[in-house]
Amino acid sequence: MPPVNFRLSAIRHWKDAILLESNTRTANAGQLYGFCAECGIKALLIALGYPHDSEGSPKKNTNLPPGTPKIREHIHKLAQNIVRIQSYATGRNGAKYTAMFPNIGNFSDWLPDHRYYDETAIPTSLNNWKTAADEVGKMIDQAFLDGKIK
Amino acid sequence: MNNRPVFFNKVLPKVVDIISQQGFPAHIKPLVIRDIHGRIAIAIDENRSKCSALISSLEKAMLGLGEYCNKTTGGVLCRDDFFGADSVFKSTEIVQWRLPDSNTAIRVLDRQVTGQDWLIPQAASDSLPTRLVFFGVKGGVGRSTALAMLARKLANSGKKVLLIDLDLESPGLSGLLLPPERLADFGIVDWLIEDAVGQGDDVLDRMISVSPLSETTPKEIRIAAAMGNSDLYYLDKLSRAYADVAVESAAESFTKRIRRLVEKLEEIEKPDVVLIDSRAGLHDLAAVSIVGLASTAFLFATDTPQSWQGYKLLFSHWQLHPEIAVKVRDRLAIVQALFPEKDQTKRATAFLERSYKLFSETLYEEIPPGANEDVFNFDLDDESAPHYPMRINWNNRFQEFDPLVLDKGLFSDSEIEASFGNFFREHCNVLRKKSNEPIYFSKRRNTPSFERGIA
Repeated sequence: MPPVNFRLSAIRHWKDAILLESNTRTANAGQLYGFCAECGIKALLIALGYPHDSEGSPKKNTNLPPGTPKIREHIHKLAQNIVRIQSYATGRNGAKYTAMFPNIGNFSDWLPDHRYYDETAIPTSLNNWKTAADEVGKMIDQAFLDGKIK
Repeated sequence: MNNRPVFFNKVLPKVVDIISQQGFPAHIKPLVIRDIHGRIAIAIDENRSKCSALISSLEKAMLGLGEYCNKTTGGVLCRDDFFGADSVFKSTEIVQWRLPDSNTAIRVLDRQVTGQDWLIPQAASDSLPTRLVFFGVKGGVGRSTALAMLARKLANSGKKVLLIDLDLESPGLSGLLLPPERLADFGIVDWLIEDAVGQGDDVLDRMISVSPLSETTPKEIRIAAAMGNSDLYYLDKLSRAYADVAVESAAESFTKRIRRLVEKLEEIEKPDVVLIDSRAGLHDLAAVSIVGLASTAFLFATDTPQSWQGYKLLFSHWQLHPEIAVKVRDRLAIVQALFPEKDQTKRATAFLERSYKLFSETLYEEIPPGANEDVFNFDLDDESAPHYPMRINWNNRFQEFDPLVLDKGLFSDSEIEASFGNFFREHCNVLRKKSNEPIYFSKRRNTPSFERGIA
């Protein structure tokens, strides 16, 4: 079994983010909401047939088939590219799921580099990030119930 | 070792056996999750660590489902396997199944690619206008013609009629009632496309055409057609029409979008009666129309094995879900279409008996000894029963019928009455009642008897 499991990772990051937030550790909670959404979207795309390596990660951003979006990115870049991701996730399977996270643009001000920031310099967008991560999480539950995501 | 494959038809009975034999603790109510390929997992509303013995016993039993055991999870799911367990275990989509010849009801969360809407009835509401849905499990039985004739009849009697064409994949209703040059700018399919990008309201007031059929009637027949006056790109639009659409905090399903559209049109048009042409066959659009919209659904049938078989499939689906059947059965009314000119008494009797058999075997309840009067069951000859057909007489002149020629006087009123009279009178009874009231709760005293209705 490949070691990478984006669905379970998304759930783990979400649960840890909730724990941190409830203990007022908001800076790292925000980071984890971002990783949760990133994992959820990657779980969906791989379930829909996105090229992946033997570990279960998306293939590197070079030599991808035409029309394949580059997804070895964190959530702020995935959110920027969401139109291309939606175009990839088409048909009965894909379009249904990508419609489930309308607020993914909330991650436009999220950065992985926030982990290096002074806490006061991190945007106060925690609730927006949480909303968007929650939508992605609910989407992976739906795809899991459908038997589309393992 | 027994390696014989387990096929789809045998899976649910096996699941019922597994659940019956398992002996769950009283506080655990197992939930059967069937994925879109039919694979089963049994979900337990507890964390894994709290019920490890139960899980391992269940996993062993689930192997008996063969390829229909959801092996990703060993066939068993717990709270901590989900992102949001509450939304799974408290899902409004969970339905009860009771298999024929089984005393055990199971709770099922059934994931399907299409067809879910056969099990999602609209909530009853006094504020809804009367919505009459025209459905045929097979096409070519004169459904749209009957709809056009009734629309004209209603407009003539002073009812404002709104006609909605939901037969998106065979958009012919507008052709029957509207010459192409009278089509409005936009159709239902255009609204679905524009609404998806946030501008549905911008096309809403340019979707209605007035049928020239109603130019001489006291009230208008207003039509929301499937297509607008530009047929360019129709297939491009149709291929996108069924999409779920992202709204503020979730996705809105096709069904919900259609219901929202119908409500918006009703709000603008304020019709006395809404007539909905549903797509023929067991399609999602028919499901939305009959289960999600109709106050009464007219089920067109001819006395052919194909007709009865199609309705049996549909009714049996409801039969498996008693709580859905209770909500849906009240709105059904059988129409005997293309009633032949010869041997009418014999053919009427044959149709009635087959219709009765269909309802008796599926939607009618058994009468337990000493039951009160509330049991949903009717006698064969009970004219107020849903199985008792309304009738449209065959007339070959109506087979290639263009209602627009009515105004040229090519059909006499008596000719129309001869074919549609019984059907019209039964509709009038429907319209006297509130939209959410079962049509046969009061007897149709003022209508001709079955025998007298035969031409």
